[in-house]
Amino acid sequence: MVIGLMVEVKSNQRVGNDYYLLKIRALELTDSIFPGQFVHLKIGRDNLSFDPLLRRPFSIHDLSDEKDIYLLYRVVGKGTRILTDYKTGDKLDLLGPLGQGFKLDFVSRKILIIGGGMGIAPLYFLAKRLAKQNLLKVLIGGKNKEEMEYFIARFRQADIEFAVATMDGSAGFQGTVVDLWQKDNTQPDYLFACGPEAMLREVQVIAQKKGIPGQVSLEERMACGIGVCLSCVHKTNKGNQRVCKEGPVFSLEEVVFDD
Amino acid sequence: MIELDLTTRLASLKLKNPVITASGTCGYGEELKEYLDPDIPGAITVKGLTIKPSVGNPAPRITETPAGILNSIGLENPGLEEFLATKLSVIGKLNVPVLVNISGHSLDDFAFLAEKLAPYPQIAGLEVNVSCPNLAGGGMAFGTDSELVYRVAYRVKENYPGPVIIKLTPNVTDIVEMAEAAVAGGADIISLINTLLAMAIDIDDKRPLLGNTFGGLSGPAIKPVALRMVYQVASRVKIPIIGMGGIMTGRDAIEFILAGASAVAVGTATLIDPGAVARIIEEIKEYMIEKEIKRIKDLIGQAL
Ligand SMILES: Cc1cc2nc3c(=O)[nH]c(=O)nc-3n(C[C@H](O)[C@H](O)[C@H](O)COP(=O)(O)OP(=O)(O)OC[C@H]3O[C@@H](n4cnc5c(N)ncnc54)[C@H](O)[C@@H]3O)c2cc1C
Ligand SMILES: Cc1cc2nc3c(=O)[nH]c(=O)nc-3n(C[C@H](O)[C@H](O)[C@H](O)COP(=O)(O)O)c2cc1C
Ligand code: FES
Repeated sequence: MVIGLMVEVKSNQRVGNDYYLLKIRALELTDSIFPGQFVHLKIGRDNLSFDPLLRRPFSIHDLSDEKDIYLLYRVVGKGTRILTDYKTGDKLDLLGPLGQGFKLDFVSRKILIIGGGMGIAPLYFLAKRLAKQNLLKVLIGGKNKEEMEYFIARFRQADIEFAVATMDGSAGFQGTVVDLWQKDNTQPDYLFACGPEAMLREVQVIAQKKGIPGQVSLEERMACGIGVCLSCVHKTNKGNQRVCKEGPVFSLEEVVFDD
Repeated sequence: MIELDLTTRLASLKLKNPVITASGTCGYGEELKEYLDPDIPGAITVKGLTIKPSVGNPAPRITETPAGILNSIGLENPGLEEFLATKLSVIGKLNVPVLVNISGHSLDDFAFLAEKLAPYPQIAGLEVNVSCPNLAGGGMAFGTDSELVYRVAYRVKENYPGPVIIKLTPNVTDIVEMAEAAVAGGADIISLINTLLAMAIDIDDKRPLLGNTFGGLSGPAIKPVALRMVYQVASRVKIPIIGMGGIMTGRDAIEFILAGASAVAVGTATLIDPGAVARIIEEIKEYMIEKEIKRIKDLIGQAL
């Protein structure tokens, strides 16, 4: 029995302390994929596995030159633990690409990208797209050097200007990525952000003060991922919006964060 | 090849097949259309409607439990006025019967909604969700008091000319008592079960996991309970039954039909496999071919 699209795992490697890079072949999809979108994976040997039962959402981290999809995932629970067992040649049940990605008709602008933790995963794909035609700077933050090492290597390789913040100071600036932005005082024309909600809330406050427009990518617990169940709604100035359907990317101005 | 007859009847409603989308898991039908041809289900049940708009419960609204999901969406919906202005035309375009699921916090709420929805031929029938709290009467769910179930059924029937389905909550001691009260009140059809009241606790935060503390359990975990309740109700009550709770496959659906359901509804399965309803219909056909059963109607209540 087939649910969604059965895609082939090309590789699934540990690339950090507790995170993995999953490469999948889904040529049917790649032409319609945009940075900020996600895929919904049914994890488990049997498509109808009840454990885990729901699909799990993951952002598109990158596309390879051969149009393979990269996902970067952190092992946090049952689903992601089982995902680490997938080997080259295994099949995965994928629904996607889902949601509205970043809107990116930008040319010759000064753009700032701010990412925290696993929120950096989709921003790498975004940065690669924007770097071609804009003046781009990326600020990334995490707990420590170990967590950031993979990202540091990727941004370096892609020749994208970036700076790092770690809470313990083991790499780059000591503090949060928002502290880093404050200190470095970059004044962009436009910004993009993804990361923990507390971080996004601070980014919103600062951007508002400085009058900088932007877009943020949100995360909420999801069930369907396609807009039918209303599990994933987030408050905005237009009322509740579905993160899986109207999002995950929203304009920075419209999102309402609870205190 | 034998010619298969999947048609079934729910009071005055004729369905081309017995598989219905469950309320709250298919939006207003159109949201699913990329994945499920809206002409395929036997009927479509739309998201629960209340008189006033509702923003629902705080996040997180969903969590997974063994073989089940726990939701506390909290009946988020645009309210009656907006429904009539924007959603009615959407469901009017569908070619299958559309059932509107209604909820209220007082008997008058139910009566009012029934009266306001009565004029619209786009709506094939009402499914009355009695799982919500009776705010006027102390906050106990309507569906846990047989006197209230009777009165809700009566008031809706009084104000609505089409078929009325009373959707029972499983959070009761005696489901048959509730079903009999619905029949006495004039219900044409009974649907069951709604979600089981449940919770999960985050042991790192040492707090309830859902923003609303409690939620409703659905999915495969509740199937045995749902099946038992359908069986009990079918043994005692003469009106048609829509069975639901954890149906993931055609074989699950057949179990409910054998237990006495004239039709089934699929909820949680659609959240995982948006094409579940179409697949389940095909799997029912496979079973019928394998067992050489021509008419699905011949299976209803066979296990009773
Ligand atoms: C749009 C979107 C994009 C995402 N992109 C990525 C990504 O690129 N890389 C990545 O590693 N993770 C990403 N996530 C988070 C990822 O979906 C969860 O970590 C994953 O579902 C956990 O599954 P599990 O079975 O391992 O954990 P579970 O056992 O289900 O839960 C373990 C922990 O994970 C958290 N969690 C569970 N489900 C979700 C969820 N749907 N969203 C957020 N947190 C959840 C819970 O708070 C819990 O503490 C994304 C989430 C969303 C909504
Ligand atoms: C996300 C979600 C939303 C639901 N919303 C409603 C609703 O608005 N009204 C209602 O009567 N039942 C609602 N239900 C209950 C389902 O219609 C169904 O009775 C229940 O989930 C059991 O079936 P299942 O196990 O196939 O999901 C909802 C269930 C889920 C999972
Ligand atoms: S996860 Fe179901 S509506 Fe977004």
